[in-house]
Amino acid sequence: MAERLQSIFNLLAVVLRGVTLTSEALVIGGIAFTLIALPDPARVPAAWKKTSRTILWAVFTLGLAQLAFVGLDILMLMKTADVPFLETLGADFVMSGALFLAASVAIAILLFTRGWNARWWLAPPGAALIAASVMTSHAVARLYYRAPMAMATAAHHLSMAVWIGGLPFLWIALKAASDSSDVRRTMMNFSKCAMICVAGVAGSGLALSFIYVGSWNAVYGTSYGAMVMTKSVLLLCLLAIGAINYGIVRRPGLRTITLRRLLEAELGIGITVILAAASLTSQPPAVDVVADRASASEIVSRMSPGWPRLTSPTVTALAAESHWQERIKSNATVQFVPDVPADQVQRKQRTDGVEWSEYNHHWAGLIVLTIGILAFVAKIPGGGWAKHWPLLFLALAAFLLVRSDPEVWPLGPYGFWQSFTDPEVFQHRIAVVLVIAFAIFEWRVRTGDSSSRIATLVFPIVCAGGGALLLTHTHALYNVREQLLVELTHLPLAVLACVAGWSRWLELRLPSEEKLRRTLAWMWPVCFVAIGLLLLNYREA
Amino acid sequence: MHATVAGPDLAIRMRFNVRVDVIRSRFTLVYPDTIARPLSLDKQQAPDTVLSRVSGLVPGTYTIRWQVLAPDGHISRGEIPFKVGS
Repeated sequence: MAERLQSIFNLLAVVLRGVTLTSEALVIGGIAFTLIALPDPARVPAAWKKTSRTILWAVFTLGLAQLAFVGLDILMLMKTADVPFLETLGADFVMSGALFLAASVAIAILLFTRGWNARWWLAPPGAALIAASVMTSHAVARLYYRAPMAMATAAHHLSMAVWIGGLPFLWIALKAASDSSDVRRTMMNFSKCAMICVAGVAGSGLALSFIYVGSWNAVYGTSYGAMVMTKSVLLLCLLAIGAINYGIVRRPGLRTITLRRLLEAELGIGITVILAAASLTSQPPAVDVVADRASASEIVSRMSPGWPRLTSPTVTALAAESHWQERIKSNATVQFVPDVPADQVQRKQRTDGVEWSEYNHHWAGLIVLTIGILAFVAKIPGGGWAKHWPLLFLALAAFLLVRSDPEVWPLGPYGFWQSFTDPEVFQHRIAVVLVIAFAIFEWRVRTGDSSSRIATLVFPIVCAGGGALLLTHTHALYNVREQLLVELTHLPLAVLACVAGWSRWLELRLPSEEKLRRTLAWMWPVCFVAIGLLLLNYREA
Repeated sequence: MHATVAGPDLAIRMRFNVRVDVIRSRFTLVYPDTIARPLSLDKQQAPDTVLSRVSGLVPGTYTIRWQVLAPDGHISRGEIPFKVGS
């Protein structure tokens, strides 16, 4: 029971941490943008109105997320360790939550009562938000270097928040400005600030990695290290977009619409980076994972190309291995992981369970690879017939629904609703819904049945959202090394989904005269082909 | 893990790789007859260490179930099975 509660808690904690970090970034980014780059509201009144409203929404979301997080953590302590309610109130995470709430309320009151005149007064509660966030970071739980680690964490949060959190406010300011000199001045002010923040993110990130990761072996040999690498790759994508923006601002003939569209993609990838950071805080730092690291030779062996597995073991064989019948007779809760000691898991996983999972991934890879190739064909003269490629996603959704979790409905003994109590199955079900939405909307767009702008954006949103979901996706394996080897395949898939989604977004949203649009139109099919190939080479043993 | 220790009195000292909020952490000892009894935790001597003691253990198989809260809000738990020799 405690383990089940813990796994649900872990998933919710990552989601709430992601919402907290994102809204914290928006609040701090909004305050910083108001101080550094926003034009005087006397000149551009609409920009200030929308900016203050967005900060208020972010503050409201932050407060709610913190209330939920603290409530959840208190509930966990009370349910799993019988800690009395009053005793839980002295915990550090409760203090942190209280500081978050107090600072959020202060910001909301200042914005309501004093408006633009409050902008400098917003800085102290903004700093309190950073302090509250640091109070629940890895830094405070460390035994050594607490103060420098807390300072590096604060610098990392501040830099990321001012840069990424400032982007929506820059978008608002660009939309509201009518004078090109206002646009250029706002952009230049923000660009200078963003460059300092990039240096801050990189510098503090390196310092944190030096302590939390600690060695090259831990970079690739632990989940934490692999996630840091993924975050770094996404940061490079952000820098590439930032560099394009910077080039546009410096050239004559300001392309404001192009800038705004690129900002949308930059913000989307930025939020994905923040979600990756939320996922990182739920994992032990790499330096603490000593016994169960994967070696370079294990990783190379697992990643080496092999022939796909296109035949599956039977459900009966799988059921015998997992002892479903015994569990049902003993009224046990849904248990998806063999409950054997960690040292036996690897041996057990070489049997039918592994073959089942590999078969699933390989067929899914074949479908996605076909989709990628058809998307290419649809773009060349005479390839119009291939425009129905989105329908293949319906086949993928049906395949996932039936095969992804064999213990539950429709193949296994656990019912449809019962299956939702397991976080991993729940995430797979969300993935199925996303794939179906993707298939229907995109097919209607391709065949001309739907010309709505929102319908065209379902593809990039679902694709980028799916990538973000994959980053926070957890595999409940008791064997830490096996968990890493699975994640090493999933993390590149997440990055490719993210790139595919945002390149399609820009293809749709950039002005038709932009040359960049043509390059991006080929980028997302390439990502689909790469995703298909990666899935085809997925191995669990 | 699975060590054999001498009884009947036992001093328990567990060291973690992070600071531990001992007030909100719980240790339970499961006796050979499968009855679980909470252990009282001593005052911390170091931020990463939890101390307890238990007496009157008869020979048999026991398990310490632990759950600790770290200052960053993370809850960790585990089990340590051991035997008390005759």
